[in-house]
Amino acid sequence: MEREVILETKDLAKHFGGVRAVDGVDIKVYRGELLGIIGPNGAGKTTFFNLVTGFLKPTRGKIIYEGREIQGLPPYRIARMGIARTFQIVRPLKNLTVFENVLTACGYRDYWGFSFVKPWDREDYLDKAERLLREVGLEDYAYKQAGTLPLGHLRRLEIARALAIDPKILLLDESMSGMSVEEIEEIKALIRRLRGKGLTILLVEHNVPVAVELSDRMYVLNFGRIIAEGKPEEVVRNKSVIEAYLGAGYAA
Amino acid sequence: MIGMYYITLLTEIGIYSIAALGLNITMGYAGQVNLGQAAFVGIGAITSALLTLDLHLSFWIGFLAAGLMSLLIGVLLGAVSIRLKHDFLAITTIGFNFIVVGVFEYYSVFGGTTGLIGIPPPRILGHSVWGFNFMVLVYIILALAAAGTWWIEKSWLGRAFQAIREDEEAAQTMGIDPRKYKILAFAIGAALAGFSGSLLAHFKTSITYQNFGFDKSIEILTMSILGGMDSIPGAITGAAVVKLLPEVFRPFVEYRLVVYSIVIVLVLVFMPQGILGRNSPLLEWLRGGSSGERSNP
Amino acid sequence: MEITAAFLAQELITGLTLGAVYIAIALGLTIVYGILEILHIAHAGVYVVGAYVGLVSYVATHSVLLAFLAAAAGSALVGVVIERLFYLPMLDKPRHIPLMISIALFILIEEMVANTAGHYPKAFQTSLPSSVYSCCGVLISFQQILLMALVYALSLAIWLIFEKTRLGLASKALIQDLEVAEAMGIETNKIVDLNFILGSALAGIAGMLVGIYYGKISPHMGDVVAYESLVVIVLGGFGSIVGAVVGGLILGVAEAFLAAFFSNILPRDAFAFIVMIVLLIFRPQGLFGRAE
Repeated sequence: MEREVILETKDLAKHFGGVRAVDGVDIKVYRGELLGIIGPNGAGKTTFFNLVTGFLKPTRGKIIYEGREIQGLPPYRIARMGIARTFQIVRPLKNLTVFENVLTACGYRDYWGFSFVKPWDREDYLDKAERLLREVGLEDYAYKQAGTLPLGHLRRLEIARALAIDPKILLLDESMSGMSVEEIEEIKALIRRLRGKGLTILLVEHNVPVAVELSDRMYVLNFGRIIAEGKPEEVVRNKSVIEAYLGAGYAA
Repeated sequence: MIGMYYITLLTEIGIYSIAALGLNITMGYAGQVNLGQAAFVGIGAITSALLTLDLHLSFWIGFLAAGLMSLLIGVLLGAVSIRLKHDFLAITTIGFNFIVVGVFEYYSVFGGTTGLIGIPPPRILGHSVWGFNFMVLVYIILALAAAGTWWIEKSWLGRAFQAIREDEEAAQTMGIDPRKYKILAFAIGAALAGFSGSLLAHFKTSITYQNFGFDKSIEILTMSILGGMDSIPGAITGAAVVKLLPEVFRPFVEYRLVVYSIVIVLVLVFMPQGILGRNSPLLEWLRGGSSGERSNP
Repeated sequence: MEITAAFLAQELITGLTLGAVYIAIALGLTIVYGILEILHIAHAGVYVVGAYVGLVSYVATHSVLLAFLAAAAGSALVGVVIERLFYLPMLDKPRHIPLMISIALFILIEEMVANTAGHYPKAFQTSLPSSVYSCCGVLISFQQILLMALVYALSLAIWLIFEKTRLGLASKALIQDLEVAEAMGIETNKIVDLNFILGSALAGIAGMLVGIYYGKISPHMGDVVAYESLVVIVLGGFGSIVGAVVGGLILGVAEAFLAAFFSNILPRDAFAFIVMIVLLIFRPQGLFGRAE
């Protein structure tokens, strides 16, 4: 059976002045897969991520999501269409509680037009927010002010918030960076669980072993271009990939 | 029967509570700095005064037009705010206040240096409303404004406001368009100021540009901050404290502003969330230490 | 009204004088903003303090020089106290908090001055010559020359301090990033103190100069400059010394000419803000600020 493409980029590029941060990237994301994108520092991973989520406008190229071109749309519209993201540098709504953070995202459908007049204080929304907090294991912190939580918890909060918009595809931006070994294990288990439920996940990772372990398939980005694609174990044995990470000469 | 002195005081507290509530929405909920709220009060006051004085329309039309006019200018200021970062926005709203007051002062249509006088009181069933009855009218409108604000708090509009206050980029990932909600925050806050201005005009029956200067904006902001910028009872408490303080300190009338500014500084330094704001020491104490409960059982 | 070259030149001199006052206030404001990112409205209060300390000292000593030194010292002291007591502890609070504190402090300072020295203007007569020089129909007073010469010289000195000394270097590091500067071993509190001393002393000298220029001082002399100096630092870009000088000149000269030709349309402070808002709509980062 031919697998269905949910997200595709065609010749996607972003130049900052003379810097070609992303320079003609073609990728395909299939429905239900866990796709990893790795690359050394400055390879253009985060720029690519910001292009797909609408935080940056591409210099050229197309982003096709479920058959529609979405390049250049503002982030809030892309979010409403079902593309959820987390931030590498976490962005909690600091003065609100953990529960309120997730609840706010649960209303994603009601921020359009005038439906913002609807009340949020309804069982279905409150239950959904609670269920999501249990899903990521933050139920005990629901009424803590988000700004007071440690980094590991905030990363899980961001995932809960992303899940609240009922995403068809979840983009995780370096969800492991700055975390302890135990915290990384927890996040890995969470990602596997979500993947098991059939959610499509795009994982942008600096941490290669984690990405290899989790991904079904992988792209390697270097200097804004895809230099390798395939099964994780094969990709990391690829000569140009090793060179990209370690510099020429180590590949032998 | 309470005396005229107290009626006047209570009426003014009610009128300014409405303007402070509006500022709570713009600044407290949505985090958009507005240091020119008095200008919106003035726009409402003068709209309402001119419609009743020159066109002989009823107070009620003037009242609604006051809210609408301030709302429209609020949309304009909101549109400008989209392009400006925090401190540029703060200065722009100060400037907005100076410009509006300058226009009032220099153009006799808007009262000029002498102001507008003889603004008629509202009429209900053929009777002029003044004194005690006017105070009741003010508190009915304040109750409506508070109900409206409460409804914002309980709807997605309030959630969106809080989200853009905390982090615009994070808000976007939740489907929130920051530009739309910034404009709404300014528009709603300005409309409430406009309503309060209309009441002020018909209460005082004469107004001049000096009633709407930047110092008045600071007064309204003080009410808002003192009570707690994210609290409805806070806005009313703040207005009451600010209006009552000078009365309490009447024996030291010379030092009124000194005391007043010292109180502001002390509150800001030691209790920046205000008397009734979220996580304020007073509320914590009332609750017995448990903070931030889920708002429904 | 006949528009002659002499008339224009006269207005230019008025504008340059006004500009000097703005520059003297805006320099301190821009330095403070650069380092702490606080809109230091109370700076205009520091300026008022300078004028009064200057007057009191002059009456006591009959020495203009000593009066200037006292004005500078008094203002510097008030500035540092504000910084230590109210600004440094408030840096992690939401930004409207220090801004509001600053506005309240401004009111407080003005009122305390008014309550001790009286609400009404006080004459500021000195032994300095009060001659007015005339050249081709253009008049310029000794006071104007003194005001401009001193402010422009002091601005140059402050610019040199920032460009050529270790204090300037350290301050620039702070403007870039306070925490990084701290990590680099710069004694940040001391540098912030020194900057406040410098900026406040300048404001104090400016207060006294303006008093001499107009021949009187009042507790509310800071009202207009408090908010119009904000226009100057917006024009010049927050935190830029050269920007504050250019911004002050532009605002002063523009106001003088607008007042001469359009004084019946709007008050001059409203004009200043209209210019600023229009500018901001097209260049949200200010005239000399860099786009992000």
